[in-house]
Amino acid sequence: MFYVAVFILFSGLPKTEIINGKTPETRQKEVITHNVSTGNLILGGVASIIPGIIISGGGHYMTGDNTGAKKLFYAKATGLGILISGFLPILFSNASEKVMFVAYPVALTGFGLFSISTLADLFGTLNTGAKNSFSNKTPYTIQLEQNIMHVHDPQFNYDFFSYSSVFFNFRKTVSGIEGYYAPEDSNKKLKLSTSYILLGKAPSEFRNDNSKLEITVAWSWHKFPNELFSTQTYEISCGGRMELHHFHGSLKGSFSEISLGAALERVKYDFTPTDKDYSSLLLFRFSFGIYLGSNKNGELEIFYNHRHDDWAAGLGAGGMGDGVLGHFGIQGHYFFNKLLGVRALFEAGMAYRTVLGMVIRY
Amino acid sequence: MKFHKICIELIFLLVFSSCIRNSQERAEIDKETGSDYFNGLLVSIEGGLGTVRKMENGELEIWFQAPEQYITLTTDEISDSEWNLTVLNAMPGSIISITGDATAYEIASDLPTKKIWHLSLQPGSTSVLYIGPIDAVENSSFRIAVLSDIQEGIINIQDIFETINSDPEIRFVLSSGDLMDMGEKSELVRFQNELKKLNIPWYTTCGNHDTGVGDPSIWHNIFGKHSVFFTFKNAAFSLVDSASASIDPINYTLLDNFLDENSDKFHLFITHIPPVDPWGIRNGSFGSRKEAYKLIAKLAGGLVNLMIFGHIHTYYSFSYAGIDAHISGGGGGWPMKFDNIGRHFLTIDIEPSTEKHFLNVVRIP
Repeated sequence: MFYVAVFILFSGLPKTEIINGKTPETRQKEVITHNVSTGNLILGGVASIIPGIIISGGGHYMTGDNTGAKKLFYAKATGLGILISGFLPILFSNASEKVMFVAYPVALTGFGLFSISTLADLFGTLNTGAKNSFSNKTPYTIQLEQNIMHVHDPQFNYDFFSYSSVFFNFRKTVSGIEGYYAPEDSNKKLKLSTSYILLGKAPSEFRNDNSKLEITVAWSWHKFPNELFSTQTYEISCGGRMELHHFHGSLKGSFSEISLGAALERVKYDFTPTDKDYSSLLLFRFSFGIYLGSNKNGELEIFYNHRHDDWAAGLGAGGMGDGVLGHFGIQGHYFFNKLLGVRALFEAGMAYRTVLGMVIRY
Repeated sequence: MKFHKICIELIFLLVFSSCIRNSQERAEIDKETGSDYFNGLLVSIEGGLGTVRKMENGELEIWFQAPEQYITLTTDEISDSEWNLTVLNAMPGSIISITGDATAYEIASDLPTKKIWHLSLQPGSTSVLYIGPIDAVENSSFRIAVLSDIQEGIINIQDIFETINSDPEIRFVLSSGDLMDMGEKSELVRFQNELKKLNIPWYTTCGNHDTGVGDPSIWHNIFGKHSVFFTFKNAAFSLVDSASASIDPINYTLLDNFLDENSDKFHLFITHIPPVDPWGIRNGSFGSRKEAYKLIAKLAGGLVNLMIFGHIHTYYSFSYAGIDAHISGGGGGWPMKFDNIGRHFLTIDIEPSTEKHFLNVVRIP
């Protein structure tokens, strides 16, 4: 729920954006027509990373966008504040479960906001605004995917998977079925999910803005025939996407996603079929993405996913903190026309997952 | 496997393998433990269950990682024939039995866990030494202690050692690791010195804090293996390195073999990081849930009787796949708040004949 508050807070920003009678779009035009030298642009790009990883807004400041610099600075500071306010109770209690259930989601939300502001500063600094779209407007009701998936995990023998999915949109509801199958290993997974869009428009609606807030429930079954166990996972999460021009005009053409939830896993072991173990799981994901192409054709997204039960699992960062964080990844899709597109994904944790496939939307 | 698959696998292996097997280096260095050569004498410890710390000028010093050891000494024609064998971390009352031409007599030592024998070896011969307690093969019940997650609690570890010493029934201590805070050599040397006050041996695997600096030679040179498998009195003990929130495939192979060989025995499995945190949202556990379930399925298939973990600085009792499981991180490292547990260790009475165990939590005020 904390995330929802953060989301609504920033979703509300456009209302406060009209300064001196200028809308964000007007001011962005001023920004992009501002005569920024190549040198300042390069310096801005560098400043958005160093010291942008710690203090955001340097990139916008170098290109003369002081308002954007201030907003990103405050976003970063807010993220850091939230991160610290979540982390300190964890540190003090040495991860007592009595504080973790609140402190951990808070810390991760802060981590997300802290990270997104750096990427947003970099994007906004280098964004000329000339060709960026703000959403894919094409409505669709059904999305079909056929992918080839490769998982490199030293703990398991599987490698190549056939990965298919179909998603249906009915009014504000999007329901999907995903199936994975490894021919050589017989590892198989099936996932059913349904999302209800609380705020924003459904895929089947004409959209000028992809911002949305949704609640998702899902069930999945994963069979490991060689390792002699299977899992069933029941999950619920709340999250969404915000197109970042709501935050500042220079970020037009970029978006961020964030979601928070929990899952219950049931494990059944073939050797002891009467003993079933149950375990909970924190779900958290955030991303920063950009729209691709001059005709709203695709998007590219860098993400963090806290799931430790997924293909890539947690991050083997080395040192004492192995396995604490989830995995990072990059994914994108691009549509050649209204019907046909391609998608790709790479994510890295304690295993590496690569997905390449075709997407059909109708 | 088809050519394109081999190419893709090779690319992945070349680019990423060093990142996703963080414990591989430790598993590899474990293979080198247990043998050494100096001036015509080759020492080979069965199963690598001991590490040669010193071998020069007639002095041979070995740190034991298991109660019983078979040590093969092979000499060439020009080797030194007179050696003082010092065994550290030995079971009190251990005896020596020799197959071959060597002879030995015991020299008094200053510690219960330190045994010294003077060995006379014949040049160009091979002798096998058995060193262990006299009751090692009996099927009778015995008691052990489990103590983990000491870290900065090293400053007052001696009161825990005194409590352990006060119970003469405890035969040895098992630890899931985190003996140090940062994994520095100086910390491990300090811990070694503290161990001199413990009257029984200490068998351990490593924790994430023990491997923090990323140099496996620190542990290797002082303690030997990061993963240890041994039997005592018809009970099996697997101490497996999970310090990187994962178990390396090399150690899974060793575990598989040990499970197969000992499926008819009482079996205690101990590792630092719990495969699955009983409070899963926190995830103080393996980095991969899938790997965690794979491990538990293996242990269930291998008829393991008891699992012990550390890492989380409190005490939990639960079960995985119907197997009794406990988390005990009470060695003094930054204790968890709000749990009313504090410093503690476990005692476990094991009955190998019935494959039963009785576990007790001993709190340290």
